[in-house]
Amino acid sequence: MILRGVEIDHWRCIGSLRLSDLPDGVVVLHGPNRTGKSSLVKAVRACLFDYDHNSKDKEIVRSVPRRGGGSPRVAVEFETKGVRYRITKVFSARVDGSAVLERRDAGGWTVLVKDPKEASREARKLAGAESSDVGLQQLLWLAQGDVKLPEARKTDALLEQRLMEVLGVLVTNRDARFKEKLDKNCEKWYTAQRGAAAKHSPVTQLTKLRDERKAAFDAGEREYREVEAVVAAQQQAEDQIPDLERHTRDAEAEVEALRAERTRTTARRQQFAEAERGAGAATQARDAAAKRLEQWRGRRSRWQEAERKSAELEIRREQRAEELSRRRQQLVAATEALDAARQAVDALQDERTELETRRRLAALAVEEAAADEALRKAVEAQAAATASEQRAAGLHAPDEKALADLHAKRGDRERLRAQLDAAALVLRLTRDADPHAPPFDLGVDDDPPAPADLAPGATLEQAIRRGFHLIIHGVGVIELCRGRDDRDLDRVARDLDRLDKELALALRSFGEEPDDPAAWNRLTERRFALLEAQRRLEADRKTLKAALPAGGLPALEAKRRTLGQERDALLAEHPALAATPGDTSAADLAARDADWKRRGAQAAAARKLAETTEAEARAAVESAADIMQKLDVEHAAVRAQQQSFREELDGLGDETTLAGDAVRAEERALAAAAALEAARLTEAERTVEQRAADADGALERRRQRLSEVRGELARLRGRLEGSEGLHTRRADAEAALAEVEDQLARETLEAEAHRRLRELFEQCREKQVSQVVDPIHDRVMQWATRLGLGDYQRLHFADGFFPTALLAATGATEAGADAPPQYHEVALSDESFGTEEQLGLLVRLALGGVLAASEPAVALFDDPLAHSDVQKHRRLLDVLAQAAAGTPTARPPAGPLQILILTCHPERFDHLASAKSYDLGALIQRESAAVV
Amino acid sequence: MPTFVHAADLHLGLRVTRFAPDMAQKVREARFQALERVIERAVERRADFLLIAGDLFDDHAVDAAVARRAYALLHDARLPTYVLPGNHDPLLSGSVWDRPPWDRASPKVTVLRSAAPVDVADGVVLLPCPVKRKTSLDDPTLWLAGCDQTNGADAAGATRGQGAEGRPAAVRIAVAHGSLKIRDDLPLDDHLIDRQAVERGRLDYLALGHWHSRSLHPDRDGVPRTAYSGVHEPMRYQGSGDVRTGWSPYTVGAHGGGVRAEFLDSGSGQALFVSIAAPGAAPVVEPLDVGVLNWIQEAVDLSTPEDVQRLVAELKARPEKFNTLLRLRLTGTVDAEAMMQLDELRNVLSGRYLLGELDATGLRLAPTADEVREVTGQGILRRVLEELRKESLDDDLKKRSVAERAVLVLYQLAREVGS
Repeated sequence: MILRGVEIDHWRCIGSLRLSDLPDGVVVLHGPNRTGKSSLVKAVRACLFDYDHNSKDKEIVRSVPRRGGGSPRVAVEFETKGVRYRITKVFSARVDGSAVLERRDAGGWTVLVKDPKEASREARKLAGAESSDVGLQQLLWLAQGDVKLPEARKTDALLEQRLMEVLGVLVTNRDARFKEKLDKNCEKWYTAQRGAAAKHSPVTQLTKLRDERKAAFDAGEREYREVEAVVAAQQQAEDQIPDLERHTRDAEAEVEALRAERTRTTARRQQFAEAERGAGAATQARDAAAKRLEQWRGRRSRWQEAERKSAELEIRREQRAEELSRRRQQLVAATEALDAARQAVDALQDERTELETRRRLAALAVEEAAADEALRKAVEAQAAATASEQRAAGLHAPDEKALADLHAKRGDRERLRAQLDAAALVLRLTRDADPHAPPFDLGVDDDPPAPADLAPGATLEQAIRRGFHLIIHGVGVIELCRGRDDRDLDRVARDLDRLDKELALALRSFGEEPDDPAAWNRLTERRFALLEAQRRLEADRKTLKAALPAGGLPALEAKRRTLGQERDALLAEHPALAATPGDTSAADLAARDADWKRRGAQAAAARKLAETTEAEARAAVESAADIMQKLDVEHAAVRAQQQSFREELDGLGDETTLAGDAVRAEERALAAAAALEAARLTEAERTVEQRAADADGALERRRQRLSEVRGELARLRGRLEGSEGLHTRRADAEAALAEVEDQLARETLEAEAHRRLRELFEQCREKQVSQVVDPIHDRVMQWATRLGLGDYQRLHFADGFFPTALLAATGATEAGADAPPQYHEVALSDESFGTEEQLGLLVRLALGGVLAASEPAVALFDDPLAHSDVQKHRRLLDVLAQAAAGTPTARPPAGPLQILILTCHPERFDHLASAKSYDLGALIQRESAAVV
Repeated sequence: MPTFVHAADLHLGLRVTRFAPDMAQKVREARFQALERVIERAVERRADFLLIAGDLFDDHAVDAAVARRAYALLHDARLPTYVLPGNHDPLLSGSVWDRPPWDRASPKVTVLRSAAPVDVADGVVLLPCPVKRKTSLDDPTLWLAGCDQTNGADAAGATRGQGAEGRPAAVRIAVAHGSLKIRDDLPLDDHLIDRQAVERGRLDYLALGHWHSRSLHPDRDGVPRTAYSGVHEPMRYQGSGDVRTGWSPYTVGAHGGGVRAEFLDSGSGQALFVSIAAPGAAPVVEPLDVGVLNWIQEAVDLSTPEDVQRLVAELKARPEKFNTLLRLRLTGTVDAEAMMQLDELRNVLSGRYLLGELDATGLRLAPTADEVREVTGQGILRRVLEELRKESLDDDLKKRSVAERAVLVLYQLAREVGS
C-alpha cells in the first residue's frame, strides 16, 4: 500500500489540509511544533483503520474542534496492487456522518461502497489490517518517542504470521508454552538455574533408598554366606568325627598295651636306676675334690699377682712425688714474674693519665680563645645590624609597588589630559586693537559668563568642552554648544580631577609638592636609598645570624663559662700541672705519646708472657697432683685385694691335703661306672615309660580334638538354628531392592528423557532462530556498520523476530584461531537511547523491506531520530533512501517502502535528495478556535 | 491295596525376589493353598498316607511361621504324612528339621531322617533316601540295593514281590530326591540317581522329587515305577524360558547358565495319586490338579489403535483374572494415538489381574504425518521430534530408551499445551 493523498477538514487543530499526489520513496512533512503533524497522523490512522464514521470513542470526540465549522472530515487516498482507492469519512454520530469508499478509474472517482460500515470494512481489508497498530503498522507506523522494538510475546499475530510466511517459522506460541511446561516438569528432577540434580528429585530420593536397601540386601547376603560357611564347616566336622573316634579308640588300646609292658620290666628298671644313682654320686664327689684343688691353686696365683703389682705401684708413687715437688717450685717463680710485669703496666697507666690531662688542657686553651673571638664578633655584628635597622627606618620612601602605582596613576593622568585636550574645541578670541571695542563676557562650558579681561589686540585661547556663551555687549550673544552632551568627556574630566587629587595627596604624604616637577625624581632616589638600606640591614642580619649559635649570645657566653670550669677542674685534680705546666705543645705531646706507646707495648708483652708461663706451671702442678692421687687410690685397692686373696687361701687349707682327696674320689667314680655298665637296660626296657607317657598324651589330645569337633558341631548347629527366617529376609531384601531399582530406572529414564528433551529444544531453538533471522541480522548489521555502530559484532534474537541484545566480541583467543568467537551480551535497553532508537529503526526497515517484497508498504515515522547525532543522522538518511528504494536482488528480496517522515527539523533531511518535502505550516489552515 | 499321594517340591516360603513384597507374599500364600488342596484331594481319595519327596520348604532357614504353618496343616490332616528332606531343605543340624515343631516325633507327621525302612502300613514298607546336603556326588538310593525291609541286612537273592529268606513279601516304596540319570549332561553334584534304582532296590515304586514337571519312567519291563510328581503349584510364567521370580534351583546345567528344563514347571500344579495292588504289581498313577495360580506370558503384536482396543476388550473378558499373573509383551509399530491408549491397557492389567506386567519395550512409535502436524506444529517441536526419532534408532540401548521415552513426553506435553 502507498498513501497518495490526504484531505482533512476540521480535525483537531487542522482547519483544512490538502495533500495530493504523494510520491513513492521518502516524503518529509515538516512544520514547527503545534502545526498539526501528530494530528495528521491520527487522522490517517482513524480514517483508514481505527474508527467508523459514527464512533463515539474519546479519540474521535477529542478530535472535533469545539467551535469548528463542521464535523471532522478525513479522506485518505491510497494505492494497492496498482489501483487507487479513497476512503472518505465524516466523523459524526449525527445524520451528517458518512463513510464512502471510491476507486479511481480512467474517468475519475467511482463510488465502490456507500454503506459506511461496509466502506470502513472494505477499506481496512484493502489496507491489510484491522487497526493501525497491528500487522505492518505495528512494525512501521511509529508515534513520537516510539523507540523500543515490540517484545517477542507482544508481537501482533498478523505481523508474526506474515514474517513467518516470508522468513520462516520461528518460535511459535505452542513452542513457548511447551518449553514452559517442560521446564516446570523438569523442576521435579533438576534445579532451575544450572540444571543440576535437585535435592528433592525423586531420582535422588530413590537413589538414597536404593543404597539403603542395597545395604540391607548386602547384609543379608553376608549372613547367607556365613550360614553357608557354617553348613560347610558343619559337614566337614561331621565328616571328621568318625575318623576322630576311630583314632581315639586306637590310642586307648595302645595305652593299655604299654601299661602291661611297664609292669613287666619294673625290677630291671629299679636295679638300673640304683646303679645309675651310685655312679652319679661318685662322679659328683670326684668333680668336687678336683674343683676344690683347682680353686686353691687359682687363689694362690691371683695373690702372687697382687703382690707384684703393689710393689710396682710403690716405685711409681715415689717418682711422681719428686716430679710434683719440682713443678711447685716452678709455679712459685712464675707467679713472682707475673706480679712484676703487672706492676710495670700499672705504672705506665698513671703516666698515660697525666699525658691525657695535659693534652686536654692544651685543647681547652685553644677552645677558650676561639670562644672569646666568637663572642666578640657576635657583639659587633649585633651592633651593626641595629644601626642598619635604625637607618632604614629613618628613610621615608614609597615601596616598589606604591611607587609603581604612583607612576601608573601619573601616566593615566597624562593620558586623560591628552584625551581631554584632543577632544576639546579651542576658542581663540582676539580683541580688536580699538580700545573702544565693546566689552564682552565669556562663559565656558558650565561656567556662567563673566567679563573677559582681555587687552586690546590680545588673544585668548580657551579649550571648550561643551560650549561657551560670548556676550558682546551692544552686539549680542554668541552661543556655541555641542549637538548633544558629550558624557565621555565629562567622565574623562572627572577621572582626571580624581587622579590629580590622589596624586597630590600621595606626593604630599612623602613630603613632596605635587606641582614640583623634581618631586618624582626625588621619590625615585629615596626609593633607591631605602632599597640600599634594606639590603645592608639584610647583610648585617645574616652576619649576626652566622656569628650566633642556636641559643644566641647567652649560649656563647655559657659555652665560654663551661670551658673555664673544665680547665679549673682539671687543674684542681692535677695541681702539679698547675705548678709546672711544662711543655704542652703538640709536638711534645706527640713525642711523649709515642714513647709511652712503645714502652706500653713492651710491658704488655712481658705481662702476657708471664701470664702464660704462670698458667703452664699451674697446670703442670695440678696434673702431677692428680696423677699422684690416682696412684694412691690404685695402690690402696691392690693392697686390699692382696689381703682378701690371702684370707681365702687360708680358708681353703693346704695344697697337699686337697690333692690326696682328689685322687681317692677318682678311684670311687671308676668303680661306680663299672657297676652301672653291668646293670644297663635294653632299648625297649629303657623307653617303655616314655612310650607310655607319649601314648597317654596322644590319647588325651585325640579325646580333646574329638571333644572340640563335637563342641564346634554344637556351636555350628546353634548358629544354623539362629539363621531361621534368613531365607525370607533375603528374598524380601532382594525384592525390595529390585522394586526400588525398577522405580529408580523408570524415574531415571523419565528424568533423562526430560533432560534430553530440554537439551534438544534449546539446540533446535538456536538453529531455528539462527536460520530464520540470519538474513535480517546480516542486513541490520550491514547498516549498523555503515552507521558507525562498530562496537558490536552480532545481534541476539531470543525467541522472536526482534533482537533483544547486542553481542560484542570478548577478544578471548585462548582456545585458538579455529575456536568460535566468544561474545558478551548487552541488552538493547542498556544501550544509549539514541543507539537503541537507531538499531530499532534499522530492524524495522529490514523487516518491513522483506514484507514489502510483493507489495510496497508505508512507513510512518513521527519525529524520528530525535536523539541521533549529526553524523549518524546523515548516514541514516542513506539507509532510509536504500530502504525506500528496496533491494529486489537481496535474499530474501526487500521491496520498496514509502517512508513518510513528520518532523519539525526539515533541515536534517535536506541531504536526502530524493525526498519530497511538504511544508505543513504553509499547507494547513489552522482552526480559528482553540481545540479541545 | 496301599494308596498314597505323592507330592514334591512344594517350596513353601518360596524365594520370590522379582515382585513387590505384597505380590511375593501372594505367591507364597498360593503355595499353602495348593498344599491344602493336596491334602483335601488325598482325603477325598482315601489315600493311606501322603508322601512328600523332598523340598517341602524352599530353604532350611525358612521363617518359623512358615515351618509351623506347614506342620500344622499336615498334623491336622486326616492321614499320616511322611516328609523327606530335599536338597533345598537338607537334613542339617540346626536346620528347620531340628527346630520346633519339626524336631519332635509325631505319629501324624514323620520326617524321614535316616536311610532305614519304615513300616507305613501292613505289608507296606517305605524306604527313605534323605538328602543331607544341597549338592552331593552320591546316589541317595545306593543303600537300597542291599536293604532288607526289616533290618537292612543283605538281601541278595531276593526278587521284587518276594521276601528274603522266605519272609512274606511287602510293597516296597522308596522315596528320594535328586536327578534321575536319564542322560549324561546332568551335573554330577545333583544327587544323581541310578536309572536302574528300581531294579536294584526291588522297588514297587520310586517316588522322586527335585524336578518341577511331572514325569513317569518305566523300568526294564516297561512298567512306570519311577515318577516325579512335579510341583504342586506353578512358579513361573508359561511361555518363558526362565523362572523369573528370583527362585534358584541351586544347580545349573552342565554347560552353566540358565535354569535347566527339569526345573521349568508345566504351568499346572499337580500331585500324584498312586495305588499298588500287591507287591510286584504295576502301580497305577493318577495326576491330581491342585494348583492355584495361572502364570501366563504372552506377546502381542500391535499396529493400530483398534488393536489396542481389541486387546483391552479381550483381556477384560478373560476368566480367573484374579488368580492370574499375566506378563504382556507388546511388539510392533504404532502411531501416537495407539501409544497413548496404552495407559488404558495398563489400567486393565493393574486393576483386574492379580498381577499384570506390561513390557512395551518392543513397541515402536511411528506417528502419522497428521499427528506430527497436529501435535508439534511447524516450529521447534517438529525439529525436536525429528532429532528424537533419529536417536530412537541409535545402537546405544540407553540412548534409544531415553529418546523413545522423550518422544512420548513430547507428545504428552504438546497435547497438554494444545495448538
